[in-house]
Amino acid sequence: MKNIAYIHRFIFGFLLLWALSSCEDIIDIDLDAGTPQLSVDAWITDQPGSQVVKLRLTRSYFDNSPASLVLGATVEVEDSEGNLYTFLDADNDGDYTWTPAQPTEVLGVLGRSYTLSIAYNGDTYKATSKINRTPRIDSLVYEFREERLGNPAGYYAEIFARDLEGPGDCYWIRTYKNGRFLNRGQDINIAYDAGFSAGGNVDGLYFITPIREGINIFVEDPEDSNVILPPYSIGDDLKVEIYSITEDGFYFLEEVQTQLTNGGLFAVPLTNVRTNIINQNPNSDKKAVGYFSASAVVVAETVIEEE
Amino acid sequence: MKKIIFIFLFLGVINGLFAQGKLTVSGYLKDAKSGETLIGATVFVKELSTGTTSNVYGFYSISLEPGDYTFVYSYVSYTPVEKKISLSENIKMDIELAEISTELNEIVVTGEIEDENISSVQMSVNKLDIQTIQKMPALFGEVDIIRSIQLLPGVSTVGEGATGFNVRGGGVGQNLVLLDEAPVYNSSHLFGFFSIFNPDAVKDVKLLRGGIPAQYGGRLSSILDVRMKEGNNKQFAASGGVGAIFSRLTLEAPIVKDKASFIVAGRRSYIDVLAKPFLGEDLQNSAFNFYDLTAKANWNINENNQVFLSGYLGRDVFNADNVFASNWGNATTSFRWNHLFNDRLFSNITVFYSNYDYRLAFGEGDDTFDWKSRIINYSVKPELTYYANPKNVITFGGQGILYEFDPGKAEGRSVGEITRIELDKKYALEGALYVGNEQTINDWLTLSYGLRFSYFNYMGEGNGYTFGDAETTAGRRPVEGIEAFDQWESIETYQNFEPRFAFNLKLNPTSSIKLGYNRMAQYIHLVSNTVASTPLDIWTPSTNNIRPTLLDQISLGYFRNFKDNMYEFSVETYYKDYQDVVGYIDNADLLLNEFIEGDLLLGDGRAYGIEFYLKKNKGKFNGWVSYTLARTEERFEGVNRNDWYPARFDQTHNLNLVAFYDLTERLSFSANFVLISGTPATFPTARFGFQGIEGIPQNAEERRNNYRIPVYHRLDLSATLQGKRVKKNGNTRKNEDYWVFSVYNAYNRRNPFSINFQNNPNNQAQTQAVRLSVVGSFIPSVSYNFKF
Repeated sequence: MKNIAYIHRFIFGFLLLWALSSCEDIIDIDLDAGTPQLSVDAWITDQPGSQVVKLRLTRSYFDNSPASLVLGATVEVEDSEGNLYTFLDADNDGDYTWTPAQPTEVLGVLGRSYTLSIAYNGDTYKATSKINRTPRIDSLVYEFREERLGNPAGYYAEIFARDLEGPGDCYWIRTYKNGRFLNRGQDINIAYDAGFSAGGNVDGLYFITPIREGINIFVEDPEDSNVILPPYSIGDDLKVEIYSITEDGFYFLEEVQTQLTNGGLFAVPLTNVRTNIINQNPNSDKKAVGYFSASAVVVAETVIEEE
Repeated sequence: MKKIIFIFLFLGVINGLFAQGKLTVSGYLKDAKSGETLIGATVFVKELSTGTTSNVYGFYSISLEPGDYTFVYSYVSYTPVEKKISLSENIKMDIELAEISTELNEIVVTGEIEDENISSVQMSVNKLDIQTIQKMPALFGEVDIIRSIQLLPGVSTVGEGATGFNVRGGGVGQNLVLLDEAPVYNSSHLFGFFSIFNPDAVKDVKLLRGGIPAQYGGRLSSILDVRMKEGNNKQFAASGGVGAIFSRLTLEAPIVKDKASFIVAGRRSYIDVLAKPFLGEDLQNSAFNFYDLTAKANWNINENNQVFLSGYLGRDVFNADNVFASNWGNATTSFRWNHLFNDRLFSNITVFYSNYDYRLAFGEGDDTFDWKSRIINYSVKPELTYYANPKNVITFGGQGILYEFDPGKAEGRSVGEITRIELDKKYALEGALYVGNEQTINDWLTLSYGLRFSYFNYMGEGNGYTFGDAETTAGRRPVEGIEAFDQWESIETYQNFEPRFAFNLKLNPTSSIKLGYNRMAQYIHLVSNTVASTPLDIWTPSTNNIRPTLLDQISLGYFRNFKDNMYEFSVETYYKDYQDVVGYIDNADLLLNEFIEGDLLLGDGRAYGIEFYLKKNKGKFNGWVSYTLARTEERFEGVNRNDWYPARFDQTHNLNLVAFYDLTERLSFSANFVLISGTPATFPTARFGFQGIEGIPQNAEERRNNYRIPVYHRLDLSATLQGKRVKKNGNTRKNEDYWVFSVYNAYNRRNPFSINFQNNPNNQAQTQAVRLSVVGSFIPSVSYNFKF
């Protein structure tokens, strides 16, 4: 329901503009430091080349230093055909890597299930995922738009892809501008079939507008926070990837987005996002955070040129 | 049917028991100038030192042995009328009381008889008259009933911009807001900044938060009973005002003098009109306004029959060009018929229709989204009051409500392809039968007791869902079965007996102890898990999966007046025990979700507190202080490690100071100060990231509401300047007018509404806490008001 959350913010923004002197400011708060937890970042794909599982520890909320590394863990991925892939941390940086023996070898195969196992500090954590199908990208287009409703004049892009027939397909549309992954909460662009949620009755359609246009991101001008920069300008390189994800993966990303964009009058209570990393030892009170996902990927890329 | 026969039998029996050899004096109490009936005016029989008060329709009835009596009719700020009555047959006596002229009038903080707080059996009641509300400093100078009531003990809000109000720790949806007996589902304009009641059209406001009598039910925490004026039936009158936000106009006039009259009152905000010249071309088609229209007519058919027709229509509208549209509002219509069966048996039957709906649409051309939702109800509510004798007033009646919930209908277009999401309508029938008696045992003991039987039928046409167990406790429960039900076919029924009991033990003429117990059942739930309740929250009925919420509340209070009722003091304590409170799973999806029941949890709740109240009624300097110490907690299996935790509306300390000072006849000042503990919120303890996305908050200990936002405090000031009453030639002016100057949040505090945790927009690797202050500075305002 991120569209709804967005609307709330929109209405409220409207009000603030005209009626009120509301304000947001940054304050200092003392928070308890929680017990560090294993944090797993494991997104494997069907793309050629090496695959990485990053293991870190959670750190206290206001700790802006890099996360502590998890070293000495055993990391393996097994697919539903019985193939075992070992991930090694050769350079002790917490990034456990599987490297193909030949350049043509690929880990991820469409339709297969994958199980991740992590042995760390006496506990074994497991997670499963499956590589689902991805739609074909019909086109990645852009156009120049005049300023409208607070959106600045500039180039706006749109990605056209038609959701695959049959309900329940979920996708993560990842956008890269000039090679940099757009990593803010509001940049997370996910689709359940062609829409925002299950039961949306949008199976088999083109992605709905907010998803097609979800690859346009707005940032404030670093020089002047009242100025919003247009999404793209001439010469910008734009790359869009569509990752197939599981339904659970969709909810994980939706929850992450909710937590990262929470605020305003109609904020929802802070809650922990889900994880599929499960400690296999029922007697252990240690829990992991993060996610393991296996995806098929399609890519489109373009450079913005003068019309 | 049996029940109805039983009631009539019962009626016959009490009639026989109480009525022998007694004669009745009855009639209506009215304002001499406007003909408006007076609610809660006193009728006192000197010889017997006993009396009664007029009901909400201005009717009174008192039965006595034959003899000679002196009746005193009084109402605060009105000149009392004394009548010698020689009682040898039943007498009809309509009395008109004249308002004490304003020049002599001091500010009167109460509209009740002077020691009503001591003598009445009703406790936990908040009353404010319109004159008092008009003198209080208000946000943007807009006189506001609900914001004023929040300065009384036991009532609060979670902050500016929060829709509705909270009573003794209860949620916004636990208040039954009645406008001329029709329920209003959203009592706020512009989220919570203004309430929907036009103060010029309101006659009486009463909030019950404990010891609730049997005639009220359906909500757990409070009853806000708002009565509109009937309209001047003697002469044309107009009143209105121009303020920073609204302009208001009220017209009232007789249709047939002394027989029939009407009142029409309207308000509209005009920020959008004023802002238009300053908006860019792309916003020229925008709308941003809210309005309400109240209309009422009454006809006094004969001395035994009177009918009223009232209507309310209010709406908030926000449109941005053609790409975004949203609006929401209430509409109610109620028809009432007062009928006197005889001098002692007063009846009223109310038939009402109430609708609340909202619409949200965005997009244009081939790509649009249009979403609508509504709740409608139709109701019949007969009520009879039997004035058996001065010692017993029996009220009985019933109510039937038919609900139609339309949780959501959305139409989306993507590249011209249309899709529809349509959630099934849900239907329910709620019924109640009740009987209650207010019995004066002797000079020092008054009892009020009653029983309400309520019934709820969740029915077709529609689907009944069954859910399996969630994978984790307090997780989403998956749908296991869907069964279709025919129209009127029961999916689930519930019934409850709701006993009510209260007593007033008068210790001496200036002090009393009161106790109240009430059980309440609430069958429809306001589903909302946002920080502030929103206009887009939906109501959902109790179903086969979601049981009704039950509340047992006990209140005990000590009431004391000093110095000839110059000071009023009370201390009340309460304990509330909830069963089957509705809660939400983590990351619940509450909008446009067909399987919403799988995202709801049922748990326990409890609330307790103590409320102190001291009021100075008279003198140039008057006002009140109220302080509440309270705790509200809830517990759900699988949440917060199964422990109790403070609920969203838990506010430990709540202090209000309200002061009025009359400097001269024309100039008066007022001030209020509010101090409230921060409400609970869940804060993170840790963070993690993945795929370059940083700063995901994590609460490793899985505690809910583990912190509090900082304390809220605010001072508001206002000055009221009355226009000159006397013309230069010495004649009195017919028109009255006054200016109100006010400053809200006078010392410019940034009160936190909420604290949010987010990444630094310029550096995703850094996290920060952001305080949201809805009102971030002081707000001065001025308004002009008139009456002629």
